[in-house]
Amino acid sequence: MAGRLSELRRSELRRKLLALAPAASGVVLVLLAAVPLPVGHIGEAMPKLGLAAVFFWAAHRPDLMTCGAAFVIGLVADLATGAPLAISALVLLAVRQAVSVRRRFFVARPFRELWAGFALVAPLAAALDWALSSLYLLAFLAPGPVLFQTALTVLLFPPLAWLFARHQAALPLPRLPVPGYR
Amino acid sequence: MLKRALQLGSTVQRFTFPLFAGIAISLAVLSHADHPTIAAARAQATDILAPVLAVISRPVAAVAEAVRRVEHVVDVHAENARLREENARLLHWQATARRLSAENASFRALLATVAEPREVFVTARIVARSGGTFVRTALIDAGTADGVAVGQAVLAARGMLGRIVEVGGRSARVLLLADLNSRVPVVLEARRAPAIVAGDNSNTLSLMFVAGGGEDLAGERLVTSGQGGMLPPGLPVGVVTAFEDGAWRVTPLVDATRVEHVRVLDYALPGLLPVTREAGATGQLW
Repeated sequence: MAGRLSELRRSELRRKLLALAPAASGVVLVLLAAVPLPVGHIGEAMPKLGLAAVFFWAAHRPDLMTCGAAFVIGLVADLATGAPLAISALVLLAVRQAVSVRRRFFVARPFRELWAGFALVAPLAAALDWALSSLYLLAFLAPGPVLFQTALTVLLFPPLAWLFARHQAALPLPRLPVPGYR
Repeated sequence: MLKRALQLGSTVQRFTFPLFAGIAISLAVLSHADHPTIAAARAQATDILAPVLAVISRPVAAVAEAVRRVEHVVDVHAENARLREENARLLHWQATARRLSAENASFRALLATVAEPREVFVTARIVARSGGTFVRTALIDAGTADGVAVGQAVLAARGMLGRIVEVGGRSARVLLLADLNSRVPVVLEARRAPAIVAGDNSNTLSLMFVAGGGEDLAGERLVTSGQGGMLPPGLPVGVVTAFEDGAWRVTPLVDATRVEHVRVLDYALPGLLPVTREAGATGQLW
């Protein structure tokens, strides 16, 4: 009896840990994007890997990529890169909300449509980031590096999405009361 | 019961977005106003992140090192020839430097000049870097525990990299020369004319308030002037390379994307500056 109970508890713990995986993937990706890469000049415009995680999971599992998760991912990104505090958090929060509300445009469709959706969302997120950062720093920031960075992020989306999709089946199924989950 | 729970769940869900957006906006506003609590919390959070980033950056640095090794093997002969030539040139400079150093010492003795303050430095590793689009900063794995303080100069092998702007117990943030908020007082090495080197988030720096800016300054080396007492004089900063849009552009001596280890200089003119919490300020701000 006790064995059965602890087994139940273990499976519940496993379920809870797995439920954290989408948020954790975002945190790991923003930390990776902050690591100095002394090869070539890519270090000057590292792709926004966290954005890909927030987009993918907000489309596929909005119950696991919550507003809180998007906020924390953005905050960690800002702390790691020394960017204006909470700007990335605000941008990722907006992306999470916009994508999860319009999920039907992104899920259960061919991959190229998901990618096209990301190619649409990423520049919008970059523009919001650029506008908020310009406001924060009270300066007109050069948009050139942002365009390059956004293009790089869009190009890197397929391998990341492939990785996420491979592990999506391992995630616990949503409990019933999940608004917006169809 | 279930219906009630569902309704409660959706209500909570509806309010999480405005709640977190509100928190984010408040944080941004407080951080923009340089609120001390936010600054302290930020330094503490960075302190927690720094060891994690240090661990992640190790394998990346190892891979980069391997790539560089392959590059080195490929052009080992050309590199060798270049180094031999450079070595011959540097030996000549070494002799000159020794002679000048001895001459300088004897002149100083004759004139009884005030001794320059002693320079102490700590070597640290860059563990994280800003993506480089809006801000140009780097995170190093040394903090107050190692004697790092706000305002100290950070050097790479060839010259100045930036200044410390935020410090935690075991980590510190470096504002690179190229950042929008970076201003460094310099002098033109040969002409001894003072100027300010300012960053604008691009790969070159702009030269401002230069005395005699009408002359052709191309090729002029810039070193820190030591004015303001925050930075020691004579640190190499960059070379004037071009004239664009009515201003001279400066190429920094250090390529910030390639630096792995840095030196943080502990330079203080004793008694000159009161202890401040903000670099450049002369009193308590809060």
